[in-house]
Amino acid sequence: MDYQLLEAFRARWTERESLALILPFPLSPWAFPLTPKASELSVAAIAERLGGKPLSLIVAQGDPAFFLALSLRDTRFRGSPIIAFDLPGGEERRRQFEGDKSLYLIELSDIGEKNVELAMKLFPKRKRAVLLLYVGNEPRLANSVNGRFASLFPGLTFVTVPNPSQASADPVLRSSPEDTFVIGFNPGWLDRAGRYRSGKDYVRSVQDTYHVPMFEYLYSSLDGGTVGGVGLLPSRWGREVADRGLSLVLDKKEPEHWTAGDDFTSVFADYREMQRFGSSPKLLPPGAELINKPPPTWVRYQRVLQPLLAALVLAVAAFSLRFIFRRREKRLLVEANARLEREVAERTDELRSSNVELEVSNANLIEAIRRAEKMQKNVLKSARAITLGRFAAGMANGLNSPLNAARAASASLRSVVGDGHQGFHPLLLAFDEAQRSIFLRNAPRVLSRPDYVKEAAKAEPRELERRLSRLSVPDAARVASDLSDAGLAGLGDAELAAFADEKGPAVAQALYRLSVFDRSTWIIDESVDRVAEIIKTVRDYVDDGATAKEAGDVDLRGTIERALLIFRNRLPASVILQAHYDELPPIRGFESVFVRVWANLVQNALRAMPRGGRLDISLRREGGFAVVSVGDEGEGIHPSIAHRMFEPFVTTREKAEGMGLGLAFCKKAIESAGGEIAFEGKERGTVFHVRIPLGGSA
Amino acid sequence: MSARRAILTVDDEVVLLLSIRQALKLRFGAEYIYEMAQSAEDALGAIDRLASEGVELALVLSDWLMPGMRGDEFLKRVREIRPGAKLVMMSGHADDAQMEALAEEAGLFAFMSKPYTASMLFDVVQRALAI
Repeated sequence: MDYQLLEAFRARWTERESLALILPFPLSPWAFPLTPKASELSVAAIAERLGGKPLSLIVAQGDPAFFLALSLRDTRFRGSPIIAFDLPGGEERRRQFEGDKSLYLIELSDIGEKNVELAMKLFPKRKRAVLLLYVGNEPRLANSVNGRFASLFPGLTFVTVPNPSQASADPVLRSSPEDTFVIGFNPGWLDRAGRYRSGKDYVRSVQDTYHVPMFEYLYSSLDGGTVGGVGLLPSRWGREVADRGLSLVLDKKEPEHWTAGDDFTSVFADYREMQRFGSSPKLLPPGAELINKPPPTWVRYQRVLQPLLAALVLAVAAFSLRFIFRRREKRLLVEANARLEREVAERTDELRSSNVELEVSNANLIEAIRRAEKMQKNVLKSARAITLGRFAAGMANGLNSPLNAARAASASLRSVVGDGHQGFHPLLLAFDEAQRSIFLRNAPRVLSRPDYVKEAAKAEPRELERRLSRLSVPDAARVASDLSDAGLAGLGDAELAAFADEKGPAVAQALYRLSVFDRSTWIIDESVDRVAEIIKTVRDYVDDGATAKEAGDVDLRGTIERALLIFRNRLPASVILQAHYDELPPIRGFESVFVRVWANLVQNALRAMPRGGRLDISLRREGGFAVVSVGDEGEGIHPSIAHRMFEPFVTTREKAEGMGLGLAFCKKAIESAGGEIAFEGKERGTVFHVRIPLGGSA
Repeated sequence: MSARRAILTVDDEVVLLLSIRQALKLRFGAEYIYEMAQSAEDALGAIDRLASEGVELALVLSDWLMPGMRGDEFLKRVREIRPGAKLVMMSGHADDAQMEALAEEAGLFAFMSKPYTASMLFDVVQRALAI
């Protein structure tokens, strides 16, 4: 994040009149520009917000903002210079806009105080309104940055653009000012080679992470997987946007009217059009006199160097003069000398004041850093609150299904226990000896069901129904359904024939109701187990050793071997384990915590390669650190989820398989042991590295 | 063969699936055929099978978040191929308002937010079957 950059701008902003902060919502770091139509609408909205004031400078971060800035400059705010930073386009982009003298491009890698200073110097005289376009990848964090800006720049104009999915769910956004609307929407991206990539997978992964109905809908509407385009989306399904007269650009239709058969190729065409637009930027605005290359470093020191050089030259001259004219022009020399000394003194004064200026700007810088640190703390605090909220939501969500299952099972139990028409008792009481004997003969089979999971996969018992019909069992369809549900589908014809009686269906029904006892208790047991499992997972996540009495000496190799032991019987033959252990001294820590961390990593590795592969585990010494690496040969981690891998409840697996707490726990546990955890993609698969200081834990 | 009507329940959680099916069967009796599917894809297969057996699809209860095709897409598909069937979506996700908007859009009979009670389930099913 570029808080420091923003802070640095602020520090130089005192005379500027106003500033607007725009947060489009890019779905990907390689976001492509707004479509011309979207730009047009966004520009109109921005111009309206700013009341038509000229802009002295447009600052844009990221591609969408950059292209929006171009649109602004070329339409409503003619001649406004642009500083664009954090551009992924690199050299290519720089070449693309070479010669555009009102553009100043700053690479992602060289954002910093130096560049800000240079950029600001390029536009020293204009002191009217300034528009800052800013793109945040994490809208909620960006929003709190926005809030921070509000306090930094009292009285400035703000335009906030949140993530559409979170506008109504996020308490922070919910309380944001009314002028909240959405500019960017971008379910496709350009990869590093500049190829356009389908948005479908990305949308899917966003959907998996955020459960945004909008994206769910988009994803499900796109068959074949190509979508692109940036449009204006209503943050709360239309109302606010409609109020402002903005409309959706995508395919000229409101999202409410999208259907599965819609053709999105025109959007794609729009993107191509944008590419053309991007490759031939508009002409220079009249009067543009700015340069697009930063002056060399020495220019910055000119003010310091000039008086110094002057003083030096004068001093040399003075000595020379004294030497040459010592005899002949003594009086003159004394005068000249006095004059020179005066000049030297003046220059020295200038030097001193330059120095004071430098000190002042240094102090400003320190102040800016201090403020940035404070801001970062605030941002972290709000991030923690969000994480806690997400945590609670994830847990509640996991508990929903078992809760519902147990409730329904208990209702079923209650209904068969009661005396009503679904009751078990009244049926039995009406039986005669023969019927009771059929019932009792079959009851043990009903109650000895090994498991019910298979039952969910079976279809209605057509075959059984046909057999019962052949045996003249009345109401064969119902009897078949009941017997099948009671686990008696496998009965032989001799047994089935017993039901060929007027009371046969009632006996079958009684057997079915008996099965309800067994099935319901099974469902309740399973549900309770699932709840217990969730609670244990969450408790394990929270318990990272802090509750243990005290840390002990831990033999890391021992903990890895113990973790592997857990999987010994579950390692498929297709998985080849390759382990390497350096000799290491014991470290201070909690043994069980380390075992769990390794177990989590191994489990993830195994799940990543269901068809087998090499599982690489190593323990190495690197300087003062022990480094444990766990590598797999799986599919690798999708870039869209990579930056959130260590957050709780982020999972790539289907819901039944886990809660997404494994890596979150690892990170928490390793960090509280004073270490760090990271991962990297390999040519094939992923490897996680854990570094723990050998000097002992924190 | 009798012209029975079918109730299809779709959820990837087996335990919940069995539990709902059992509760429905006890409550609404053997007049209905209670089909189960653990994914939208399986469910579409079951719908075809029911049609080939001449069974009318009366009601579909589907979870929203499932592996593969999601609940609302699935239900939209069902609406296209079986316009007569009543559709109910169940979900423990996201915010209710957005879900209900989605439900409305997909032409659903009802949206049920998890967790719900058995009597809420019975009530919705009873209204859907118009009995």
